[in-house]
Amino acid sequence: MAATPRSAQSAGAATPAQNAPAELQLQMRGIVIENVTKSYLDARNITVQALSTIDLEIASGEFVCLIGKSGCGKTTLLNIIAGFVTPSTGRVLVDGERVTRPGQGKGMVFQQFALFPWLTAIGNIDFALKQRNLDKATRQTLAAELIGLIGLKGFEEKYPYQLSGGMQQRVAIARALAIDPKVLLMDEPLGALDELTRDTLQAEILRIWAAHRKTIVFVTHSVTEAVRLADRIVVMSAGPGRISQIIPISIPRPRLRTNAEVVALEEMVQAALG
Amino acid sequence: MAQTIGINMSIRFPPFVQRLFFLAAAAALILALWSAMVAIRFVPENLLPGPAAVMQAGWQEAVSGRLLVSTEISMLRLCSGFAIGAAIGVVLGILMGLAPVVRMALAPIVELLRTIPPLAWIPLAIIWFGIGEASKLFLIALTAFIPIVIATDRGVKQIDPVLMRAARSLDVPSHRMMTGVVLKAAMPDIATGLRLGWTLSFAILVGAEMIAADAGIGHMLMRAMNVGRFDIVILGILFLGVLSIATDAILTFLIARFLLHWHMGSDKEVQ
Amino acid sequence: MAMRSSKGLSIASGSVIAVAAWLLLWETASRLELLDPFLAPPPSVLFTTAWELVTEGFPDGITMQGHVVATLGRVLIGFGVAAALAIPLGIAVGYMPTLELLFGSIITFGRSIAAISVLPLFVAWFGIGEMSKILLIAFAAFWIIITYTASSVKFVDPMLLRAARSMDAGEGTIFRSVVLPAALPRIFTGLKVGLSVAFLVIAAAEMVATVKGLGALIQEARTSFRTDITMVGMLAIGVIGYLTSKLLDVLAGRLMPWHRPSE
Repeated sequence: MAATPRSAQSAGAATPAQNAPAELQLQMRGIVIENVTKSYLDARNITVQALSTIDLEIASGEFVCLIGKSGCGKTTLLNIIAGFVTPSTGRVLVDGERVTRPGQGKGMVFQQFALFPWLTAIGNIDFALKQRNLDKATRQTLAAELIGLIGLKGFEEKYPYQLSGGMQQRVAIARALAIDPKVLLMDEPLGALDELTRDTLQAEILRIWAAHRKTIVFVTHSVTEAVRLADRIVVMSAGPGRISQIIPISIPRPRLRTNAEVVALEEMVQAALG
Repeated sequence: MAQTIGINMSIRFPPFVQRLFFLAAAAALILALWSAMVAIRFVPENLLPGPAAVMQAGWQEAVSGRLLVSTEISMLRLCSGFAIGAAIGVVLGILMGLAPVVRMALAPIVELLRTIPPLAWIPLAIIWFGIGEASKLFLIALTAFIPIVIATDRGVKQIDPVLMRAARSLDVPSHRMMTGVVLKAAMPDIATGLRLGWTLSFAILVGAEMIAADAGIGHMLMRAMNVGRFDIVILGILFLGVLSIATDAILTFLIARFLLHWHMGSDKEVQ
Repeated sequence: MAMRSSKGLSIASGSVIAVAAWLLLWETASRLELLDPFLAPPPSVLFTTAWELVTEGFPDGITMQGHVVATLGRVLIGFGVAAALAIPLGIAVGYMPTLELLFGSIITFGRSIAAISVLPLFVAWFGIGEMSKILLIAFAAFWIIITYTASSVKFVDPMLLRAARSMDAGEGTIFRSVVLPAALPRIFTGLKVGLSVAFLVIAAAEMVATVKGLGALIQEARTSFRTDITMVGMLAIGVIGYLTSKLLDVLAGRLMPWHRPSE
């Protein structure tokens, strides 16, 4: 099921795990979520449990969708993986390295795009490349490649406000890829887009994923979207947030809605959501 | 959300205690700076009395009742002028927002008025209304009117047409449309205009009373300067500051309580 | 209400017609003495007066240009001083929560002080000359600009900060390349509000003990019963206030080509 780590030779040259033996390093690739819980104090000093114990392993190159109703903690879990939120207990490992902060090769794509409005499309991508301390020529080559990858040739010098929502999100995806991430974490990335644009971008994301084989954790509340995209769907439920079911998908892509298997699976996920 | 960036507070007190502590620290800082300025004779002592002297002056003015009388006169002026300006502003603003013809006719005048600083009206106000009460009321009403008419017009213009259609489809009678739908839907903007209008007219009141008045806090300030009582001048400045914060808080409360009780986030700061 | 579609050219021509209509109405009313021509001299008289002010001047032969230069000079120096102090301090206060806790209440209070009320104190301390006027403007604009600057830095879109952190950008880079540019639009808003406050206080400050400057012009004209000059002077204050504000807009457009033109 899990894709073979095709990018093993090319990606992440400088992980702290590099002094580990090669086999072990391979074993440790992907995301490991161990015994993670999250609780916090609310305004009246009462402890609220947002996540009860979560254990999950995501293989390198795997495409996982987190799905659940609002309040189920799917975004909290994503933010814990991303390092924006510290878990109350437990730990998250990405390629064997413990998550302690944002960055460390975890690319983020947000629902509201979060492009820097004062930078052009290529400027936003270059911002990410700059953080890798690459020389200018390399940055230019990589930025041009990424612009080509997301199909925005000719729009390099446009500011975000001059781009449509779909185009902005493509730039945001390119920017996340520009850090050469070990994993790509996407927080309802298509939630702010219209139906037609969503459709196109789902295909784009699959194409990019097929080309780069980055591990993707994708939060969504759309059953159709999850079924179309994921290798595995992790269904979460609320009160407190927990994983209620994990549904592997073996239907080959593209998964058309005319396919009876796809429809049946959608119904199954819907049922799991309750 | 106030996402804090940079240095983070590591002490964890209840927010209220923490705020009180920092408020006291800020007050102490100001008092220390002030005392230091007095001590190094930044200006001759009679021109900059220390905190103790000002407090003493405050006590005297309060006990003698003079401060209260001045405050009453000023606040009465402010409230009447503001009420006139606000009433005209809201009515004209609604008309402008609803009827393009009215907007076309009035927009140039509003645009002209907003470019001229209210205090520059003082001489003309005196020519038109003399140096009595009327000129001050005119100035304050005019000052309040400008932001209120602009905000009301904007608020009415921005009412979601769907909301109006929904109301019409419910057969809401036209007089109820005005009070029940238009005024309500535009209220968040009107409230912003009211608060801005209040703050501005407060500042203008002081100016007007300083340049042309025989009573009120502004006048008290001017007379104190003329007789060289700088303890009273500083007292007046600080008192006006406190009064401005207090009245703004009252207005904000009244708006939240009576005009915008259905609206989330109506306690937002104006600036 | 259904006529909302009337846009563009028709609005422009509509306001031209409206302006012309008002001027005509005023002119006629004043000529027919429906309006007292002393209280409201007709527009035609104001035009002649404006010309007279430009060529001959009032009072003591101080021309309109002289008044404008005096006022504009005071405003620009005072405003410049305020901006130079308030922007860096505001950035520091907005960036460091501890400073914000300490200075936030001081800034709120400073902003609440009616700047005009400080005039007697400044006149006593710095004399009735240029110094007290310039410092009064600086004082008034300072609190406005620091308020806007601090909040611009404090309320940078948290998503942008997250995005930058996810790219391993350091705190220094985030401050320089994210916080500052993100704060720029609101800082400019603060500058514009600060400028309008500067014009507000200068109009009053110039009414006290000076003959040069537009505030002095309109006050002197009143005591000489020249309503026409008072009105022209008021319009002149409005016009230079408007033009300097537009200048700031142009500057903002140059500095922030990425900013949505509609605001």
